Amino acid sequence: MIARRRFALCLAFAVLAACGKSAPQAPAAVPADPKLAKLYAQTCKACHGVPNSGAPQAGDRDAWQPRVAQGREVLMDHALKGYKGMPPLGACSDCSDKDFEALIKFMSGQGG
Amino acid sequence: MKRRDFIAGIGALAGTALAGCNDYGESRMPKAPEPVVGPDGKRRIPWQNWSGFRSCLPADRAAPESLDELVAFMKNLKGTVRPVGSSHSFTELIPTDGTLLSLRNFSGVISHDAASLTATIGAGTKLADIGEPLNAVGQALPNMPDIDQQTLAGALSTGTHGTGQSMGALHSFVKGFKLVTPRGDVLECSAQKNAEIFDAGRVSLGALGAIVEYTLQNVPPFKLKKRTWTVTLDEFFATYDALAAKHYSLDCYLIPQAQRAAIIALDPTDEPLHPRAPNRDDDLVQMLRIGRNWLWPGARRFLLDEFMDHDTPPPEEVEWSWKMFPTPRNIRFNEMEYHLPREALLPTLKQVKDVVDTKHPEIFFVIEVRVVKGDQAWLSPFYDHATSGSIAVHQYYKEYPLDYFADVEPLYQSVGGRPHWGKMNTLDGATLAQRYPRWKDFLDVRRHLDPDGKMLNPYLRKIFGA
Repeated sequence: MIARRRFALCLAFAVLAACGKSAPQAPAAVPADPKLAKLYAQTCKACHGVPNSGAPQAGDRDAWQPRVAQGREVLMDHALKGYKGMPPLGACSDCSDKDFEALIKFMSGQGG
Repeated sequence: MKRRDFIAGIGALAGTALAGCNDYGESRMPKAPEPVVGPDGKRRIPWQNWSGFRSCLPADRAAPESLDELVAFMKNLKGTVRPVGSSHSFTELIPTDGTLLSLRNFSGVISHDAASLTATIGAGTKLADIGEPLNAVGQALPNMPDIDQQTLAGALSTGTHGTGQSMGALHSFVKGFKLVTPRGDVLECSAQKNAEIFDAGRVSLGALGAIVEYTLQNVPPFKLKKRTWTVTLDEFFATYDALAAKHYSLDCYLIPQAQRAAIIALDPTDEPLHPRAPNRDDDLVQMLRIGRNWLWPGARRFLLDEFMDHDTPPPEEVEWSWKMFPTPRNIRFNEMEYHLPREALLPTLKQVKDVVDTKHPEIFFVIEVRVVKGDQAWLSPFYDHATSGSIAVHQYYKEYPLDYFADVEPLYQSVGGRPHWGKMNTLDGATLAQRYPRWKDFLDVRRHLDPDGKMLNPYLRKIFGA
């Protein structure tokens, strides 16, 4: 009886502790920098901001993790030359290297 | 093991090995240049078009943020400039060693007039971003192409169109536009003002300057009901004219090797919304590619015909027009499309299908068939036609397309075909001058607006004789 009560209390504490933890923050869908936000909205968002587009979604760290693991050079190469359904330059014909790096950093959830 | 099974097994293995040996021309595909450091110390990033076939190494890129900035840019420009939209064209309209000019900051619905159902829209707006804001002000584009990733200027400047015997191409809905000339002048053009530039400029390949906004004649928002079904090729050719006359929008696909055609009909409706099913076109294309890789043509024909005959067609869908017209196309390709006098459409289509089936078993992408009402824009591929028919052939973006296109293109010449300005073709200036009665008039307007050739690149110089 005492063991059962202790078990129930432990379970209750566990539940309460879980309830006390806040859910992970949803990653930001818009860059903090207004200029980058405008650029993102005009270009990458068409796929990386649309669920079921086939593209890893902006801010989805889990989806981006294996891509980030391939390194900056690979990601930049994909952005410049296209990759699978993504056309070369990812719909941003006037983006510079800095622009692409900032966009990739934002979309992969590393900041921006 | 029986001898028959042994031979069948060897055949299967051979098919596997052959599929692995044939790269379908991938090794012949052009490679984009690598980034280099220019004489000014700046890294020059290559440009490539959507499919990756076209490329260049522009000296600079510009994306002016206001009309004043664009005017100053044009006035101060040294060298040449090419406007770039979504880079969706497959022809050499964009490649330049000068400056690429993006108008992405000239976007959005700028103004609208409820009484006349017109709206003025930034030229850098993607077609995909027009439907919703227009709907919010009680308007809709009367027609749209299948792909909606092009910018408005890019689509209009190349004669891009949807399908429907009673509807013209997108540029036929243009009531006016604002043009920044290579000299930096800002011209309002319409049927009433600068009328010659209006007639020349609605389809003008980015050669007259930078068009920053268009005023379009729209219609009230409307819903479309979509039906999709397949028929035998015999039934397709026998009933096509009646179908084109009956339906608001008619898009048809002939599948290489198959003896059936797929028909997609859209018609206005008041029925309740019945949202679109998940798009399975990309899956179907992948299936066609796998079939091409692993099966000989006879087997493909059998399986495709069986599949198309017995596949359950998708349920009828009802959606607002701007959500119904376009379809996501996530598998890239290269394309050739020609526009023909309407009476030449079906006889020529039979020839194209025969060439594909007998000479090009490597092709798995569909042949697309559409109809468009004629118009009077000088460089419109539908110029002075009552109705035009269009035939588009496609090749997977990783596989060399030019041998296939070289076998199809001659079929269009005896009927005076005009290529889509953004899709692959080999027509020279002399031939284009014959196909377009107002060609010389266009060249005169171009020379007047751009005497120094700032807007030109090698391709345009070649076809314009500049």
